[in-house]
Amino acid sequence: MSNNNLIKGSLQTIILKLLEENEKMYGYEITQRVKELTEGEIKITEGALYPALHKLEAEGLLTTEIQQVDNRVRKYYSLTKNGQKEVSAKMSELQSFVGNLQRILDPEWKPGLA
Amino acid sequence: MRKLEEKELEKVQLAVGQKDIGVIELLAEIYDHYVSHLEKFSAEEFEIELNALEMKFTSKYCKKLEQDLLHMSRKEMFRLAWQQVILLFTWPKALLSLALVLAIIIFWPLMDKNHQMLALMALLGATLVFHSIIWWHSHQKIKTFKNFYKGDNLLISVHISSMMNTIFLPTSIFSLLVTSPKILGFYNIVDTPYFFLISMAFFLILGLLNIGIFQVWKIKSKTALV
Repeated sequence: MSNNNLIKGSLQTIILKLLEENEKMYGYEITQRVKELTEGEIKITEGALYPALHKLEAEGLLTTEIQQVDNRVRKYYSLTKNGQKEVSAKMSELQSFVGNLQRILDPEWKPGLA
Repeated sequence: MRKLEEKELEKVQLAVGQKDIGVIELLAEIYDHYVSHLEKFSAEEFEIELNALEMKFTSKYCKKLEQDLLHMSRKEMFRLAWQQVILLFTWPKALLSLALVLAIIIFWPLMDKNHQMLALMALLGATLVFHSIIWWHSHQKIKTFKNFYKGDNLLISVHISSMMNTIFLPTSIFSLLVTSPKILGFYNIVDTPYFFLISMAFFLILGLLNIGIFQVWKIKSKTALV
């Protein structure tokens, strides 16, 4: 099964978390950073990334900045104040979900155990 | 990582230009994605990788992306503009804003219909001039960034489109309210006692929205193509 379906629900959290750590990033950079961090296991598709970025921008969680790079325009995304607040909420939500999922998959599992 | 050759860049420009995108921010974003990706591969792999990108960024997908972007940007602009309007009614600005609104509410009914129409026309004229200036400002910025584009589409910033749409909605509603009863042969709304209320509400809404959009433009113009 493709992991794309599993990633879909957490894509916004992934984007917000990456932007919290990197201040500002452009679309392609985000796909590459995720690939690098997961050693190629998770690949964010362009089909999902750009709609998610535009949605987060429209919701006021991201702001954009246009810069000229090598004779072309690059659109950088960064967190707004609301976005910065939202990262921790989204992270707790995701961590809680992963914990619950882990309990379902392995009832013997206890938080903190490897 | 390498720099693409002039011929390769032209191929990318052609491929992106054929997608029929009219929003500069999206076009620039896709172009940057193509070039950033292709720079990671050798000249021999260029065609294969370009084709792979073309399979992902199909015209249909790009059009959908553009429509969604326009839709979301309109919602965002409306939200931001009203946010700025609300800020006008926070201390200490509220003193001046409330005084102006009260002055309009008090003096508007005292004006005759001709003067009310004149005031509306003056505000609509000012709105037109204001939006033309914003559009021109944006056009100048786009011109300097347009060198990567090979298509025939007239490019416009997504923010310009959403600013105009924000103004378009109340203006259309007002026009419909004024013209449709007359066209349908019912009555002329200008002759009814409600006209002063409708025209005053429209004057206030349009005036406040213009101020809100101006504030949003002041913020956005620092980092966006407006």
